[in-house]
Amino acid sequence: MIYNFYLYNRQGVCLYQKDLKRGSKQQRSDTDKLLYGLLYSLKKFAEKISPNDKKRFRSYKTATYKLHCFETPTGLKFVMCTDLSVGNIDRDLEHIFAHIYVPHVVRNPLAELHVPMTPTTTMQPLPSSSSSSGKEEEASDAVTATQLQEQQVQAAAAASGFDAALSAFLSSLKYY
Amino acid sequence: MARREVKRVNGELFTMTYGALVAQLLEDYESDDEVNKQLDKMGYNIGVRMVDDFIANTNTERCGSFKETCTTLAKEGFRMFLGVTATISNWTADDKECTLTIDDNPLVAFVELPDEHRELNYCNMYCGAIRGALELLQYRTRVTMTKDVLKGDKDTQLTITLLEVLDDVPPPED
Repeated sequence: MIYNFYLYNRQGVCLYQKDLKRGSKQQRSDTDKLLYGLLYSLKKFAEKISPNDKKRFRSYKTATYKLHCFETPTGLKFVMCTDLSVGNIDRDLEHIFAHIYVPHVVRNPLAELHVPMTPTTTMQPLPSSSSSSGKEEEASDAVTATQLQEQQVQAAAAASGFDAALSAFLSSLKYY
Repeated sequence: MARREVKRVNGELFTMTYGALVAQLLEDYESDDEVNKQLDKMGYNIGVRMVDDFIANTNTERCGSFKETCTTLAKEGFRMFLGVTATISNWTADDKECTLTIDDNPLVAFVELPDEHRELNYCNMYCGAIRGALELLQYRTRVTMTKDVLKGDKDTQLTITLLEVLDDVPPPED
């Protein structure tokens, strides 16, 4: 059983998250910040106490769930919370990186890197710009607004692609 | 993980496209300096994407040092994206600066630099791309062109200088 999936970059920005534990709704923004803090400290700690060079932190378990983390050399963290019966899923997280994130985001010129992905379904409407004074300014504002909107739509389309591919992959997993 | 099959474009088409791009930039920006800057910026944006693509497509082990990273970049990276290899040499004693030589630079075929553009670093996109790729691997660098075939040198050479090793960003304090 998969509970959640998170993707962070090196700056600690949560690029993507997905809750699969049907039913329960936690406070979202809080959890992802706390989780990054936890991962950051765990990584530092694991590096400090490791007796040799293989100092990567891979997973931890509590009484109710297991958290898996896969980090690329570029600092992207793929994090998944599952139930306790799931073994080592490094390969699956790596698959998400190499075969879902890279083709849908990195190789997609319309997708912006390092900004949180918002698939079309959850897109926020643009805040309307009403505080401009002169007419010319208004016109140029309108132009940037439409450009912005276009960019946002394209980025959202890219994010949707990632979202769909990820959902398909996750539901194909044995422990889904 | 199995290596994914890489799609390739025709080399001449690639060279011509790059040439057309530089020519357009020269028209748009007038000063050579500004064009160099733009090429570097474009390269940077390419580099930050290439590095993840590279990692996803190779079985490369995580590099332990700046030296190792540069060697991998020159040997594997250049081969994967450009089909040529580059060599790294002239390490300084503290391992912070090296020279990267591109043996068979694919960008400069058919190119002649006119006299009025002596300041133009035609291949400046390399610098940006390398800088971008290394930055995502936590190495903040400065990359400059030191030798240019188009300016009469024997080969294309870039100098990579390590400025700073970046650390993970700590979570914000509450």
